[in-house]
Amino acid sequence: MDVYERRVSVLREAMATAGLDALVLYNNGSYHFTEMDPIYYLSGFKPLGPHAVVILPKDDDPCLLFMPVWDQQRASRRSRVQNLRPARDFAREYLQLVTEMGLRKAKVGLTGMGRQNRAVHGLLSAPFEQRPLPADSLVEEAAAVKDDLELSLVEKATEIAERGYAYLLETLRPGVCECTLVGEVDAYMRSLGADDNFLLISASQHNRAVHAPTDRRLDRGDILLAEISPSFEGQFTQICRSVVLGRPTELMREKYGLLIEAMWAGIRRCRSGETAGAAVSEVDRVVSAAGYGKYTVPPYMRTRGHGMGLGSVAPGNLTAGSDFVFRKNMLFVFHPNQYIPETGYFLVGEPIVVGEEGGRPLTGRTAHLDSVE
Amino acid sequence: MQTLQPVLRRGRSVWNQSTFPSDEFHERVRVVREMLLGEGMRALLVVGGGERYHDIAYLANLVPMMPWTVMVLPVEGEPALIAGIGGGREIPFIRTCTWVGDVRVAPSLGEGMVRVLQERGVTAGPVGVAGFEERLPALLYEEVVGRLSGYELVAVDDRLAAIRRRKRPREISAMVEAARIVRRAELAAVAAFGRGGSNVEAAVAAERAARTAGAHDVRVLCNLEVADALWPYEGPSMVRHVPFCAYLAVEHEGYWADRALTSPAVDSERYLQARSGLAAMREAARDGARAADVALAALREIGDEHRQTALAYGLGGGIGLSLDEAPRIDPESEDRLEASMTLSLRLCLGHPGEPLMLVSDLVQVGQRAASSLLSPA
Repeated sequence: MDVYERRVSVLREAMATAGLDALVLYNNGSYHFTEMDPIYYLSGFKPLGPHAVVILPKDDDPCLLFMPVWDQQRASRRSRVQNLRPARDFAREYLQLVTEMGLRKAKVGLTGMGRQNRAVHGLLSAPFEQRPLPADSLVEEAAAVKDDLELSLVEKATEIAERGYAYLLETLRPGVCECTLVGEVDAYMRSLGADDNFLLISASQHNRAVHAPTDRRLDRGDILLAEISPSFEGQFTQICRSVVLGRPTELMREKYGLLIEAMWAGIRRCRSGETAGAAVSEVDRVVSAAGYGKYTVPPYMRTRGHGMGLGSVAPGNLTAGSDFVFRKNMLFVFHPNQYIPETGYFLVGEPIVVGEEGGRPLTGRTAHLDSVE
Repeated sequence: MQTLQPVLRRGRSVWNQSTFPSDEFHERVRVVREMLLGEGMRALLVVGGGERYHDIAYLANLVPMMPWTVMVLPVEGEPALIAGIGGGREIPFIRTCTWVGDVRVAPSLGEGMVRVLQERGVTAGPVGVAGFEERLPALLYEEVVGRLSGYELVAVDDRLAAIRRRKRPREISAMVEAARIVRRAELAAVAAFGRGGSNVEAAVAAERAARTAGAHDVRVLCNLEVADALWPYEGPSMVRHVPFCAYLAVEHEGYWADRALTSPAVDSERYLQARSGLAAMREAARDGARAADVALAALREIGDEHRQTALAYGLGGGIGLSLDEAPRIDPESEDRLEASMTLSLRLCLGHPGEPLMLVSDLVQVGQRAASSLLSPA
C-alpha cells in the first residue's frame, strides 16, 4: 500500500467511525499556510480553482472534479485519484457526478467549510437528501500524525529554508531595499524547488513585528527579521531568524539568548503525551522570569507556534491554554517570537517533530542571533 | 485567467502617496457616500481579503493580508478598518498602508462591526454591505449577520462595482506602472530562455524581475512540462519547450497588469492569426461596444480551428483591482464597454500536442479603438 492509498484508508477508517458513506473534500483555489488542503493531500494535485472536489465514497473509487478544463493534462500527470472530471459548469457536473456515484441518499461529510461562501455551501449540499455534516475536524484528526511522505517533504522544505537563509545572509547589506531582498531570496528558493512560500522579511532599528517588505533600505544597526516558510510539493515548513546589520550589542545578545533559552525549554516539552499548553507555558515561564511577563500576550507576540499545511495543521495555534495532546510525529513550528522593549521584536523558531523525549528540530543549524558586518 | 494563488502576497507592500495621496481616497469615499445617502443608507460595511480585496483597496488603499478585513464607512464620521481578530501584532504596520486612522482588531468580526457602527451613532436602519455573500464563509456569515440583526442590510456590491468600473486617472497611472513591471518580467523570462534556460528557469526569472521591481504579487503560468498547456510552477525542471509560452500577471500597489507571450514569436501563420485577432479586439473595444462583439471580432479572425482553445483559456476581460473584473470578453456576454474601463485582451491558439501561441494587450477603452497601456520596460 503506497502513501496515498494509506491516506485513503485512514480517512475511510475515520468515516466508518463517524458513520459516513462518503466524504466531499472541497477547495476553491485559495491556499493558506496554516490550513489543511485535503484535495492536495489525498490526490497529489493542487487545483487552480475556482472549484474542485474529491468525492471519496466508503467503498468505491474516489473521483476528482476540477476546473479549469485546460488544466486536465496536469491533473492527469499529478493526481493519484484516477477518476478525473474536468468541469466547465461545476454546479451541473457536480450534481451529475453525485448522482452517478449513487450518493444522493448518502450520509456525507463535507470539508473545506472555511472556503465555502453561502452559495457554494448550498451548491455542495444540494444534491444530498440529508444535509452534509461538517467534516474538517474529522480529516484534520485522521491526518494529525505525519506519514513518511510528509516527513520527507518537510525535511526537504526545511533544507530549502535554511539554504534560503544562508543566501539571505550572503545577499543582505546596507542600502538594499527590503522588497529587493525578498525578490532575490524568494527566487533563489524557487530555483531550489519551493513551490510556494510564506516569506516575510523586514528590518528596523526597533522592530514592532515582522511585516511585509517595503521600500525601506537596510541600514547599519538594523535588526532584520526573516520568517522563511517554503513549501516543497505542498508541504510547508518555517524557520524564524533575526540578523543584526553590524555588530550586535551585548543587550541584543542577552535578550536574544533569553528567547533561545525559552525556545529550548518549550521544545523539551514538545513530547508525546504532553499538552501544547504545557510547552507554551514553559516558554512564558522563562520569559516572565526575566521580567517580561506582560509581554507574553498579544500584541507583543501572536502565538508560540502552529501547524503547517499541506496535511493536517494540528495542533493549530500553540497557546498557553491549549489542552491539545501531542503525539509522536506531529509537526509544527515552535517559535517564541517576541517583542522585548529594550531591543524590539525578535524572531526565533524551528520546525519541530514531536518525539518521545521532546521535540526534534528539523533544522541543521538552529536560530542564533546572526550578524552581517 | 485562472492562476495559482500563493499563500501570501510576499512582495513590496506600501502606501505610495505619490501615486495615491489622501485626497484620492477622500474623493472616492465622497462618491460612495453620495450613493449611500441617495439610497437612504447610513453606513457601508465592506468585507475583503484573499483574491477579492477590490472594494477595500479602492476605499482604503489596503490589500489585506488577512483572509477577512472589514471597512466600516459611515456616511458621517471617520471610517474604521477591522484588520484582525484577536492579537493585533500587525496593526502598526497596517496603519502605514492606509489613510484610515482607525485600524483595530476585534473579538469577532460581527461584534467589531456593530461596535464601530454604534460608536459612529449608527444604531439601526439600512446599512450597505459588500463582499458578504462572496467573501464570508457560510458559518461566519451567519455569525456576522446575526450580530447585525438590528440593521437592515442592503447588498451594494453591484453599485460599488459600477463606481469602480471606470478607472480614475491615478488608477490608470498605477496600472501603467504595473504594466511596466510585467514587461520587465517578460524581458527577464525571454532573456533567460534565450540563454538556453529551461522553461522553469524562465518562469523563475520573470518572478524575480517582477518582485525586485516592486511587484506585490506575481503569477506565472507557462508550458513547463508539456508544450501545449499552461502550468503553474511546481518545482525545478530542465525541460525546454520551444517556443516559451507564458501568461504573466503582476499586482503593484493593488493594481494588476498581465501579459501573454510567445518567444521566439516567429512569423508563422498561427502567430499572424493571433496578432490579427488581437488587433480586431482592440479595434472593436470602444465605449458602448458589446463585450460579445469584441469576442466575436477575434473569433472571426482566428477561425473555427482555434475557437475551442481560445475560449477555454478565455479572451480576457476587465482588469484593475482584480485580475478578472467584469466585463468578460466572451461571445455570450451581455455587458457593454464604457470609456475608461481597462481590459486585458488575449488570445491563446493551439492544437493538442502542438505549442500554444499566446498574445495579449492591456488596454484602456475610449471613444475610438482601445489604447495600449503596455509600454517598453
